[in-house]
Amino acid sequence: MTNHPELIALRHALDTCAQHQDALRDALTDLERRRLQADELGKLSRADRRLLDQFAYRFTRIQDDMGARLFPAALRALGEDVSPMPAFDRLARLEQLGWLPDAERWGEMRRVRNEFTHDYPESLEERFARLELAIACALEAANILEHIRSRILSRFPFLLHNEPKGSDRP
Amino acid sequence: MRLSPDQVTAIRESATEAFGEGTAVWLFGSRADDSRKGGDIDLLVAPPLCSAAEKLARKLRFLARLEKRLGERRVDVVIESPHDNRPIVELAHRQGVRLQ
Repeated sequence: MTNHPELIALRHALDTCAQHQDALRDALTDLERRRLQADELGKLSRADRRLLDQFAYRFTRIQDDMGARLFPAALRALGEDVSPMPAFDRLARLEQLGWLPDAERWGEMRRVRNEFTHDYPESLEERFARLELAIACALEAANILEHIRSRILSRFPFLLHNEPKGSDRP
Repeated sequence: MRLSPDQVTAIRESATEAFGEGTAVWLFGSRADDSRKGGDIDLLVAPPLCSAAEKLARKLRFLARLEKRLGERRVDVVIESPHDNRPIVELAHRQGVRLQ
């Protein structure tokens, strides 16, 4: 059963996203401790820059990999034919199944992600506002992943016993 | 300018809905150039004064409304602040077409 290609792909997508989630939560914990202020964004220390880079990378990757890999893999594992589905229909189907809390909200989070990676230089206050919004969205993405993970593992419990090799991890 | 009248209306109405009356909008980049093809929709928006957080929230609302009305095409929006001297803002004013 666990050798089905759909389930192997699902397990792999889930593990990839879990890696992002772990690193993202580390970054969020450090950001919470650091309590950066808007005026500090203009003169970041090396450590702060690394922390923000870690946050930005994992924040974008968790959304990208959930949208492009985990959601289609979950739908395929459930027997859905996702190839003809436009992106929003996939989200709507996951919402209908109770695996995604709110398809519209996922679209909003994508826009926050796109905004966060926008690189026209702006004022420090604007950059800080973007960072605060991205942090709130990152927490939400991590929670959505947790929700989907519990759905997947309750639907396919044998995936728990099919841990991938370390070398397969990103 | 390479936008249909319906697209221009969608942009105007979405800008007013998201940012309020008195919001100015310019189209710039490749879509403002009749000799080019395809390309993203680049917009410069000059809204009434508001805080950085409010400006960001309104920009996201604007993008959501545009996506609903124009479909999932790529739209880049630059928000102009008072005394904004960023090169992208200057370029948009110099080369852009005012939509409202």
